[in-house]
Amino acid sequence: MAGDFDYRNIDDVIHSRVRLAIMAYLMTAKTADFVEVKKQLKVSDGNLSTHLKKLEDTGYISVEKRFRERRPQTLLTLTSVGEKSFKAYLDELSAMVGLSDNK
Amino acid sequence: MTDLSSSDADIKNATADLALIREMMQEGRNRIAIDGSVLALWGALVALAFLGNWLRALGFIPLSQNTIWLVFMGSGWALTFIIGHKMDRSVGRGSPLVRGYAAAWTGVGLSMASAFIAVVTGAINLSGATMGLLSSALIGSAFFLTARLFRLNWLLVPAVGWWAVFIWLSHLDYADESIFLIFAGFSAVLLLAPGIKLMLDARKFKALRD
Repeated sequence: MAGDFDYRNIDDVIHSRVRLAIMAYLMTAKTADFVEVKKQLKVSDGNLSTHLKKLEDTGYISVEKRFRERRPQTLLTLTSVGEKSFKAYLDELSAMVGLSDNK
Repeated sequence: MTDLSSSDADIKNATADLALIREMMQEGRNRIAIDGSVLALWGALVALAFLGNWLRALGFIPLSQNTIWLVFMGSGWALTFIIGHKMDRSVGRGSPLVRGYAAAWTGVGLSMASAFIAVVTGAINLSGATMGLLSSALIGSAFFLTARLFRLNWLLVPAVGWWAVFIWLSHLDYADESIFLIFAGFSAVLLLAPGIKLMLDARKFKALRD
């Protein structure tokens, strides 16, 4: 039921369009590089970096910088904490629109 | 007092967020699900079959045209089953896009195999030009569908390429044995090369995942 939704349970870190899109993408892709995510989200480097920093600081994603074929590459990986939090967020969102049975 | 319960606007936003989540998860799921190994295999085999037919036409291979096609098509189907069995299905499994992609190309393969069997058994009489028209139209459509499904715009190049082959072939009045060589080239450029590119992209993504 929509009335059972508790706003206090909504994860503020995930609750932003860009961060939500990053988390959703990484949920299935698991690991992706910076350029690929930027292309998917159609955001600027700076904007994406800001959101990634927030997700990394919270421990939801890990960011690894490496060289591949002499080119710098930034790899983004969803952590187990991030996965758990995203699922919890999804449950809250589903409860809000009345999709969840157990809320 | 502020009302903190979920309002209609909140529900509308949540619904939009869920739609975004669904879309992004689908993008993440599909990005490495497309593997061009089967396309590359068929591109190579068809190009070799045309080369074989060209050599046969020049008198270097003492086999019939149907025998050459039978060898390459038989090998193609056998290897397709082996590749399909070994393919990594951990990502993209059950996705409607991946099922659409597989269905489109399987449809092309089965249509061409059916036409070939019908010709070999004498059930129908189709000329080489008709087979060429049929295959170029089908392959072009399958590339177009794949490009639209996965938003891979570069795949529109082989799609348009095959349709251009169709138009060219439909206006062709006369062809000598060099037509086999030309079609070997078309197969290499418009089927083998896109297959190899898709394979390389899939490997790149797999390397990221591993």
